[in-house]
Amino acid sequence: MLILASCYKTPRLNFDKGLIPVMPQNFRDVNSSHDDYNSDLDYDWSEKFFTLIFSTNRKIAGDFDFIGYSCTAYSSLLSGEFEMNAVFKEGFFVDVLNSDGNELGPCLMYDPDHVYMGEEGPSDAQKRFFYASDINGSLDIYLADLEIENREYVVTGDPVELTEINSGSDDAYPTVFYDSQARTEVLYFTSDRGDSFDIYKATGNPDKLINQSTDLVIEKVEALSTGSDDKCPYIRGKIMVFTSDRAGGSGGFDLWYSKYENNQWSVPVNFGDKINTEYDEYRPVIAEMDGEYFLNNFLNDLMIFSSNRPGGKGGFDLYYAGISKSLK
Amino acid sequence: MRLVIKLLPCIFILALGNSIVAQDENKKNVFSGHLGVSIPTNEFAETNFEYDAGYATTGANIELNYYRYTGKYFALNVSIGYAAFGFNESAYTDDYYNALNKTDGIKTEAGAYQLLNTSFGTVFKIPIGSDFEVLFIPMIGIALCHHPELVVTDDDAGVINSFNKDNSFAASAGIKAQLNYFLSDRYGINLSYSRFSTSPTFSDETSYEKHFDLPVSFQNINIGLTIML
Repeated sequence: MLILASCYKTPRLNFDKGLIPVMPQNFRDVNSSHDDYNSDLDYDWSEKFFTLIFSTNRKIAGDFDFIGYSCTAYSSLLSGEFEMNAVFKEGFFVDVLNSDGNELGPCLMYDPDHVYMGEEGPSDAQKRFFYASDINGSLDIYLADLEIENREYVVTGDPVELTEINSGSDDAYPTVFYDSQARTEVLYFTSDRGDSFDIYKATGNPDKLINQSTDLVIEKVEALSTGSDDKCPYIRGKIMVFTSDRAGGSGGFDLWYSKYENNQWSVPVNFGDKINTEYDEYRPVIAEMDGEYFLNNFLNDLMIFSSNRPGGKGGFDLYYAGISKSLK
Repeated sequence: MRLVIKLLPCIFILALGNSIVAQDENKKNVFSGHLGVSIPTNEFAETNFEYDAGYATTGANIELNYYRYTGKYFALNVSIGYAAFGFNESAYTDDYYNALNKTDGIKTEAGAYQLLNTSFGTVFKIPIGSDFEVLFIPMIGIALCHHPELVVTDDDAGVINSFNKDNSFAASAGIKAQLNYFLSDRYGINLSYSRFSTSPTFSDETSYEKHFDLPVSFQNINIGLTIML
C-alpha cells in the first residue's frame, strides 16, 4: 500500500486561493520606455484571461493611442508565486478609434449579471466603449458601439460625442455606475469645468442606458472632489478608485478609494504607502477576483494603475497589486 | 522502509517455522515499555514550500510492546505507540515572508501532529553475555494520524491558508533495535532506536483537490523497562 501510495502524492497546498502581491509589481510585459497609462480591464471569455486596454505614446511621440493586450493571471497555490503575462493584440477594435489627437481613459462596459458565454451573447449594455479624445481641442467623452464577430469586439459606426455631458473644458475618464434603487445609469467623469479637476456625475433616465437618456442631470460630486485635482474615477461594484493630489497623500498624485454606502460615497481613503509613493500614481482600475466567470480563485482583488516611480521601463508604467476584498 | 515491507512476510514465516522446530524451548512472554524523543525525518521534517514538506518538530513518544518468543532467538511482537510532534510555525511563517516578499504581518497558528500506531512484527534476539541482549524488530501495522488545525493569516489579505484538523488511517512500517540489560531474572532496562514511516491522506476542504498526502517518517530514541512475564 505504501509503495502504491508513493507513486502519486497530492501535496498540501500552502495557499487556499491565489494571492496577488500586495506590493506593486511592474507589469513588464506591457510597458515600454514611453508613457503607458490609462488602462481598463475587460472581462473575457474564460477564467484567468482578460484584455487590457491602455493608452501609450510609444508609436508617435506626443500622441496617446489605445492598444490592447491579452493577459493571463496565475498564482501557484504551493509556492505563492504570482505571474501576469501579456501578449499584444493585433487588429484590436481600439485601433479604429485612434486619431491624431490623444485617446485616454478607456471604459469598456461590463455587466457582472450577464454571462458572456450565454447563448444570447453580450447585452446591449455591455457593447459600449466610452473614452475621451482631444481630437477637437479639449478632451471630450465619446461612445463607440460594439458588436461581436468571431468572439472579438468590432466597432460599428462612428463614435458619438456625448454632447450633453461634454463642456468646453476637459471632460474625460468616464465610468458607469448602475444605481439599482433609482434604476438609472450614472456616468461619472472628471472635468476641469470648475476651478480644478473634480469628479462629476451625469444621471440618466430610469430603465435607460446613459447614452439613451435625455435631460441628463450633471452635478459635481462634492464628497469626492476637493480644491486639488481629483481625476480618473473608475467604478467596479460599489467601489470607486480615483487619483488625486489632495492633501493627506504621499506626494504627487495618489490613489484613493470610496465606497457607495447608503446612497452616497464615503469619505475617500488613501491606499497607503504600500501603493502610493512620492511620485505620481495615476488611473487605477480594479477587478473583482472572485466572480463566477473571471479570475475566481484569488484571495484579493486586482488593481492596475500607472506610476512614474523609479525602477520602471521609462515614463509612466503600468503596475499591478493585490488589494483587500474587504474594501467591498 | 519498503525493504522491510517486502522482507517481513518471509521473516514472519521463518519465525513461525522456528516455533514449530523449537517446540521444546521454554516459551516466554516479555513486556517492554519505553518513552523518549521522536525526531521527524525526511519530508516530514522539511521546512520549505516544496511538495510534501511537513514542518514537524521534535516531539515525544511512548510505546508498549509484547513479545511472544517462539524459539530461543525468535519472537512475535505486537506493539502500540503514541507520538506527538510540534508544527514549526516560525519556519512556515518565514516561508510565507519569502514567498510574498514581505517582512511582517503574517501569523501562523497550528496545533500538534499526533500518531497512534499499532504494529506487528518479528523479533530477532542476539544474546550478549548473561545480562545483555539485542533485539532487531521489523514491523508493519496501521497508524491513526492526526493533522492539526492550521491557520495562516496575512494582515493585508486575511486568512491565506487554513486547514481544519483531520484524522486518517494509513499503513505503517517500522524497524527497531533494542538493547536490553537485565537487572534480575525478571526485570531489565532497555534502550531502543526505531524508525517509522506512514503516508496518511487528509481531507482539506479549502484546497482544489480536497485532500493531500503527507509522508510521515520519524525516529524514536527511547529508554524503558523490560519485564519477563
